Amino acid sequence: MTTKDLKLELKPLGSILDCRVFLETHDEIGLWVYNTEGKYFYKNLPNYPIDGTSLEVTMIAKGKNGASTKLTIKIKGQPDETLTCLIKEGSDIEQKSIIISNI
Amino acid sequence: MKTFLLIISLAIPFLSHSQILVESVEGDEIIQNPNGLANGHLLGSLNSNDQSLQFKTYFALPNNNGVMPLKYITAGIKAKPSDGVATLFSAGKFNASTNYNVGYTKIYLFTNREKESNLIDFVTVRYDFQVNKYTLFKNDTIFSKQVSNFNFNGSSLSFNYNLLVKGKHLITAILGYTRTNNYSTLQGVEVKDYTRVYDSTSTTFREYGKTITGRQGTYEEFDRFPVRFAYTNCPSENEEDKDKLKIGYTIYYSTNLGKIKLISNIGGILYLTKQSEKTGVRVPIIGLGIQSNDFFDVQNKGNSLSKRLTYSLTTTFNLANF
Repeated sequence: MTTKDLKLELKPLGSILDCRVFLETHDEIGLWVYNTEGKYFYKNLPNYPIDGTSLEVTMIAKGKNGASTKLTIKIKGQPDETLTCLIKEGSDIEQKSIIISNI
Repeated sequence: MKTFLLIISLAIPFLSHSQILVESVEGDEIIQNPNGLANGHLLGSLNSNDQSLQFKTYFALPNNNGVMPLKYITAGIKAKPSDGVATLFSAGKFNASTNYNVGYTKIYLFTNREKESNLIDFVTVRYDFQVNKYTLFKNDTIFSKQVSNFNFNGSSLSFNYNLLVKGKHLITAILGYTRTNNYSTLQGVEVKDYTRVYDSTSTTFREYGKTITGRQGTYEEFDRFPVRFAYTNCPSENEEDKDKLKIGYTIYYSTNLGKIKLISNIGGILYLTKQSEKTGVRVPIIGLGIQSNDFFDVQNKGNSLSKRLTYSLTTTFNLANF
């Protein structure tokens, strides 16, 4: 197990009624802060524990068709990764496995 | 005044970045849709038919599990003339009616958040308190008591349930209780009080006076149980279509239960939507409402269907985000 400083930024575009983000498949991230100027939510996760060599990210969104959520995962010391949900038939679910460098 | 509201309705949308808050011809909020509310908002809405102006605030409550808020508190104030704009001032008195409302909205009531599904629902419980100023003329009583000015204070409680199906079809059901009256159905009347004076120097009679506008007839207060059902077709919000105007529509049925005949109103609201560049949310920049009053002609007043139609323009605009 290793720890990394993470920052998550989530920008909803359109009518999203519910959006959930899970790290490592089981840890749901709550209490996001809203940036009024940038119109996005963010969450700082310092010293976040990561099992193995990759970080598993899952995002579920529900809302109106065509609406989307773009999640940017900022891991200290490596390039940003993104994950996007695009609502079709009322919902969407997307997953990504991010390789952690310098382990 | 209607022309003024129409101009405002057309002008304000260019500044709007708001959410759906569509009102029926009668001023009922048929859709109170928290879609895309990320934080707090202050919305305004205009309705040309009941000549009302409303301001409404949304406060999002923190969500421990998830990104978007799933609970909201709303508070609103709505002002309109008690008996039409023509009577906004009667005999020097300001005849405005005011409605204060507070509500609580929760995303997910019957639908399951944990389950993969293309259904998602939300419910609003709302309390309204209204103060209306009325003038009643009674010609069958003593002269000094023929004109009476009084306030009507009425409370309402409603449950507004919404189900979004496959991201496109929004089904709304509203059930409620309201304390109301028959003032608007009474006959309108103008009372003119004149004083006559004689000036012996110029041998001139002079008359001066005031005109009081009110209603005449048997005034009653009673309990009603409003029932509303609506279907809304929501335009999609794809980013590649962000510069396109899209049409959405709502059809609704409304009635009031109580110790009265079941009078059914059927209406529709056709609205043009524009996508906000900042939030991506499609908002109704202007809505045209049409309502068939007493669709089944239960009252049998001899009016044809076309004479029972009422039209309105409605719009919503965003005042502040916080």
